[in-house]
Amino acid sequence: MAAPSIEQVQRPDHDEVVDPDRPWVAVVWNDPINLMSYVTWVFQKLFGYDHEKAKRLMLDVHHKGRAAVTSGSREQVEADVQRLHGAGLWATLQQD
Amino acid sequence: MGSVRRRADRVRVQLEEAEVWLLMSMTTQLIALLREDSATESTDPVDPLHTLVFGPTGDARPPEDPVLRRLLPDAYADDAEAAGEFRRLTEGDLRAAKSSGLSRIMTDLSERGQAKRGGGIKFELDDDGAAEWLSALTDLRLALGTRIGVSEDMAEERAGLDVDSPRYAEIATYDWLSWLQDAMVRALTGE
Repeated sequence: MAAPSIEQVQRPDHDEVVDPDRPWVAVVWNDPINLMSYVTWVFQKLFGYDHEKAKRLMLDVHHKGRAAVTSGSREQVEADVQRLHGAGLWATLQQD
Repeated sequence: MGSVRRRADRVRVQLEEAEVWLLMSMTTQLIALLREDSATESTDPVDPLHTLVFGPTGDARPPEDPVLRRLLPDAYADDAEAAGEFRRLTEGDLRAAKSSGLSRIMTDLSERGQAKRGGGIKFELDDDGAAEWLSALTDLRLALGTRIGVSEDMAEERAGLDVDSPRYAEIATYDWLSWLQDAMVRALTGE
């Protein structure tokens, strides 16, 4: 049986409670301007999704107001959000 | 009205004279907005050591102009500090990428376009070029749509408009941009 690690013992109380296993997600929000055909194409182009998956995500955005389109480390998802902004989609990131 | 068609591995675009003029005018204005605002915005003194270590960075505050706020949105919805940091590090690149896409439109319209019979121009795009056009057209639609206050359902307003009113012209321009973009997506994806 392993003893508690030094890191665990020394963690200060005021540290933020962050679960490193909780992935980050890129969320795309519905907007009244972007075209459905274009949004579907963006998901295929940026993330390599097939047409069926891209269209399903687009419809989620359209009907539910938002959809998580990618997940991963904070750095990866920040890069995804940057590319979504480049394509003109309204996107944010958050921890799942 | 112009046309956008798939021709073998290319996307062939034909535009009337008035359409070329409209696109160039809107594109020029948006490029100017993206540049002007970034030039006047950053008034904080630059820390040379920070620039040396982290590279040149911009302002952490969101732009005031609603069009720029839509084109350069916050990356964090509920965390102003993280949103500011993300903006400081990435907004300059995003502005530059958008300007570059819009400049591409200007070049295609003014230099690559060949005069077609009956006025207007025609030109062909490869898939990468068409993709660049799609992003730039999106930025133009976001800019115009934000300025004129486009909403999810404008069918009723459209139906009741006097064709001589300025509002009719705004919405007609917006609808034409939407048509052009949709035609280009379809030409690119073959749907």
